[in-house]
Amino acid sequence: MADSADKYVTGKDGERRMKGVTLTVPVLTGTCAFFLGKKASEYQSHKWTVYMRSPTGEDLSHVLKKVTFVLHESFQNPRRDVEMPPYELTETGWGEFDIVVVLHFRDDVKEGPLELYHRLKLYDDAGVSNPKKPVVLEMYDEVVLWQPTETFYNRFTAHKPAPAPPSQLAQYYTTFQPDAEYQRIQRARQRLAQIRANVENTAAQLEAAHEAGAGWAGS
Amino acid sequence: MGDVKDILGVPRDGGLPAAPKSKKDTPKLVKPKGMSREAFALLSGSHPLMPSQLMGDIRKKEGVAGLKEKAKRDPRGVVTFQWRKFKNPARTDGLELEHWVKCFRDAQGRVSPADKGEYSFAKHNKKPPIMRYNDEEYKNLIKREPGWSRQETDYLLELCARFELRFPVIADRYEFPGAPERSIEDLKARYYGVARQLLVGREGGPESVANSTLVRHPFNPQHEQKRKRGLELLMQRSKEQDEAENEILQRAAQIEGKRKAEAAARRAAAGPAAGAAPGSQGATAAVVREVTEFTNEEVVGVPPLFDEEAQPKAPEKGATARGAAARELVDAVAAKQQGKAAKALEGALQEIKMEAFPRCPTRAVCGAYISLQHEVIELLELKRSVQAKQHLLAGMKRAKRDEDVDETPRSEKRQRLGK
Repeated sequence: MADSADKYVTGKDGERRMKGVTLTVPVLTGTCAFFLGKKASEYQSHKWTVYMRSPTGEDLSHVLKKVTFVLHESFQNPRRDVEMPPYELTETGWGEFDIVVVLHFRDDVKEGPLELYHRLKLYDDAGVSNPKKPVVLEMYDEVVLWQPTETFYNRFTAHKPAPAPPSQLAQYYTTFQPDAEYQRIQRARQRLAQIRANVENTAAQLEAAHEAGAGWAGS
Repeated sequence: MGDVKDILGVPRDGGLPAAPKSKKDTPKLVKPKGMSREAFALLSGSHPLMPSQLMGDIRKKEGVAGLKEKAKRDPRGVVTFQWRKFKNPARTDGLELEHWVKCFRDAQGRVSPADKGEYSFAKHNKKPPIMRYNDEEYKNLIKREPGWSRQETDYLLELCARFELRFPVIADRYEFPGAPERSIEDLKARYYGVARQLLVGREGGPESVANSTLVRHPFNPQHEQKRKRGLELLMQRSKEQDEAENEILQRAAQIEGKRKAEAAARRAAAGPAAGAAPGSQGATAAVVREVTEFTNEEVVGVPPLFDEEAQPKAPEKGATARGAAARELVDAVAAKQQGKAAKALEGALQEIKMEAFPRCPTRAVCGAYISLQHEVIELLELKRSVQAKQHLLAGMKRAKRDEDVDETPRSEKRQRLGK
């Protein structure tokens, strides 16, 4: 019994949860926008797709029940549910806005929906519009499930990853290098530490000079 | 001669009145108010002065700076001072005295005082409320105190009313046959004790009058005596005593300073040639701090999020987006920096090309980036303090140099000045 007290905590519905355990689900929100070129009208200049996928190309339906994309209010029926992967939604429009991507978890996760924010990007930074080359913006994030329920934890750890259903946009997907990014930050921090040591040395010298000066002036 | 006559305003041709035209040619020079005498003297015929009458109009229209407006006439009339009788309503004996009173004389020649009411200082005659008791109250409400008879308490209250609670005066005039020597504290303790008991007794309990000063701050004779004794001790210290103590304090400061200098010297000696070769790689490498590492691995018992100092922190909700949470935290920390510090942080991050939040916020990246921001802020703070110290030291050196320079050539300087 002492062992179970160490291992579990009780959730607010009395369910058993894994004490101190974190499950991480990498997710990625993205938009891919095509300029319509000659077919563009004033209010429909771009055809864009917002999507939610796993950065590793895994199928996420064992965690997610559905994904809701909340669009700008000017769209008809702005809350769009996508129940099955691939979690994609295609629309036409002319303006950039924040899309709310709501992840609804499966029932045994026993967590409320999680909102991710993604800015729809239609125009690339150079301001050029090429109908053949879409403007893609992908944002990496990680869903962390802190102290998950025991049932979900068991199911999640036993789950064998399956590939996500193919998407037409796969050719435009971007890649992420978390390790390279981490190394870059760490290198910057090492440089900072060196600068800091130099500054600290200067401070110590100043302190010594100050005290020597004070002693000299006082005597 | 004609000029003199012009200036004096005497007509040139004997007693004959001058033609109006000639008057216009020689306008009377009147120094405008607000113009200095010297500036006025510089003006001559080539720079005719505007008649001051006209200036007034311009002043009003354009608000010429530096020229004061003429004082307005008081509609009440001209101020005069009159020697008049007055009565002080605070007095009961109806004594009449005389003094100068500010009055106005209006166009009809009537004189009326500026202050129409009664004697203006009468309002300052405030009487403090003195608590008095009747026979029954004395019997029921007042606690007997050894050494205080009813007669003496009556006498005390009488004096309190007469001298309006000025206890030094009361103690001075206090003369009750058969009573021991009463100090100010004794008198105060008795009076305020009686007053508090009366107040509480009349209300039936201390609750309803809990806010009254008498109840809230009961008089404490011991504290007052201690305070006066302390004050007396302080005032009685002789100049020699003060000087002796100051000297001891100075010596203590000197010893403290010497100790500090020695400690600093020891520290400089202990660090491998840090003082001797500033900036050399060997000296700095010794103190470079280790950069903490972060992993992507989730360890049981370690929460997945970070706080401002990149320490693990448990999320508020079971399901959280780590990247969004870290981004929010970084933004909040940046927003806390104010003014110059905020700009410095922004500039420093841009300098090391780290102003953008990482594209791929894994656990390790989040932790490292939050640490990075924290370390940049710390470094900037350190730099600021070092700069402040440098300024201080430079100022001290300058002061010292001035002192040294000043000592010898003072007499020379004086000679130079004399020449």
